[in-house]
Amino acid sequence: MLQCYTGEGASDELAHLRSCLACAGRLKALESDLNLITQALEAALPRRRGVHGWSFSRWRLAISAAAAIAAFAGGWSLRGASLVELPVGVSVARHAPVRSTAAIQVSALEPASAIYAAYVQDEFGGDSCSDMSDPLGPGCQ
Amino acid sequence: MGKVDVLPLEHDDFRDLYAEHRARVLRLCRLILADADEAEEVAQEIFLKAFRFYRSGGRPEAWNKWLATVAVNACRDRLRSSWWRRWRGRTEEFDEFKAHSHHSAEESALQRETQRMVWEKFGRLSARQREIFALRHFEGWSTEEVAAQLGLSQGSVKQHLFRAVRELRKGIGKEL
Repeated sequence: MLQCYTGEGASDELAHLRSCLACAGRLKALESDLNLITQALEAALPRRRGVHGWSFSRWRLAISAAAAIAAFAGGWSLRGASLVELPVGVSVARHAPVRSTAAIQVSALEPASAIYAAYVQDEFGGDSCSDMSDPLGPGCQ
Repeated sequence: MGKVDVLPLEHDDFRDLYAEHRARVLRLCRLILADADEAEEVAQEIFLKAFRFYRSGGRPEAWNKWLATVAVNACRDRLRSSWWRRWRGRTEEFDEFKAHSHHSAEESALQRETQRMVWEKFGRLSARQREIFALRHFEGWSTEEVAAQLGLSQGSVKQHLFRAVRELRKGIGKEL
């Protein structure tokens, strides 16, 4: 349609425009709109923003920069908090797997009886072999 | 733009050339830059280049074509160099609207609103779309000439023009 408006349409398209009332109407509407647009662009001349506009823009720039710095600082402080000041429960949960891994590593090197003896010693005190009938103490001597 | 008045007398031809083409070059710059102040500056630069070219004996086939080409390139350079200034604030103020005196107050208000909407939409078009629209509709260049000047295919020029017109029609409440 635009090409027809500017006179660069193909011959069959121009012929169609002459015979089709609907398309001719659309072309007329386009012509009218483009005239209106051309007049508007000819008549009103844009101008750069004045002092108030520049002032507002400067504030906008300053606010954007302050927001970016605040976001960065907030993110940085949260990052530090996650490393140092985690709640106790979270800290224990984090470290538990490490302990169990250590136990597995130790158990691979030490006999089970030695681990058991150390456990009884820690938890109950005294001789781990006080009860010789304990089936869990085969290593007592 | 009054600096041309200090030209030596032997450059009367150039003074005529300036008088003949100034308004057209300024309009083209305003359309591409969508900024009246910058358009004034760029138009001055263009005529300075034109004067140097003229003084060195340059005589193009058609001054209007030569000036339009120089204007497009100068505006493009200006847009590249001042991207941050344009980001800082979009054009929103307008000089006096030329409303027809025989219109009623209501009609004038409507006219102003239409002009504002059209300029707002026009300012939001890409620089390429503004260039193509200005060269095609205001300078009267053919699609082929615009494509050759901007280094684009004719199909690309048509596509840009179609999109530009569609956006501008939205500005006046119409759809393509």
